[in-house]
Amino acid sequence: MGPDQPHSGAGDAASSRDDAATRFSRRQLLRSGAVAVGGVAGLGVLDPSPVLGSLRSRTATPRPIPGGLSLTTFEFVPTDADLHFFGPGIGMEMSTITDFNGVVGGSETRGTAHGSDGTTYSFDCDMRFMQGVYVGLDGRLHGGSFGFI
Amino acid sequence: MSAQRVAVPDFQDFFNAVGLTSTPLPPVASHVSFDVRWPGNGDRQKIRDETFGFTGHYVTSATTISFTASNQHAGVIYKSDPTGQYNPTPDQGGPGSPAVGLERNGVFFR
Repeated sequence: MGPDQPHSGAGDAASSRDDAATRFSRRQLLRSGAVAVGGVAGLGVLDPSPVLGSLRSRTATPRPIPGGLSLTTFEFVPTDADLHFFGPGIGMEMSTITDFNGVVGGSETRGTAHGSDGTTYSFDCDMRFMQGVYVGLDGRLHGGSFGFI
Repeated sequence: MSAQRVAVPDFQDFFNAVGLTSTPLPPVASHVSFDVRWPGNGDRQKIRDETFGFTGHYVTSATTISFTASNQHAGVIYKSDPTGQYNPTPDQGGPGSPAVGLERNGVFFR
């Protein structure tokens, strides 16, 4: 890892929560091909800015993977994707940022949830993390941690 | 992976979130807290995919999540139930087993 070695996510995420909503949106993260948005969605880790990562590397925007889901064919494609992610299962690329080397985790989990008003819902969530080194849009090597929700 | 009270925009559903609805709904300011666990106690696999340009060593395992979510308008707090969770198989429309591992792509793939 470089001098800006990544941190574990939780504390950094909490400390940056106030501006996270404005900086990250799933829409941005998933659709941005040219702009670096890649990581946390729904919650919006789609902006590859290290939402859940080191504050020191916050400005080192990563580049989304070139592949993902095509909205024309609704199939996964290796390049020119509309939505830059694959399924979070074994056999598929779990990272949503490219030029990356590090630890990843991905999962899709289904279950039920309850609201404090007594309502019941089912949920289906894609959760993943990436922690390691990457080449940012600035062409330099950085370390960082990212979450995708 | 865990975080507490992360500020996020609530787009209500996936299609609205990625801009695929004809009448987009504006996001609502929200907060989520979550804790996702990958025990990493399953099979080990080495994968190298020349088509999609990535490689890695992975360990599969079932995962679980605990989360709470709320938005500014509803005044309702939603909590996940700890029981009954599962990771959908491809036959169930899922991506396959969850996994953790070491992965590299792009300039690190070669």
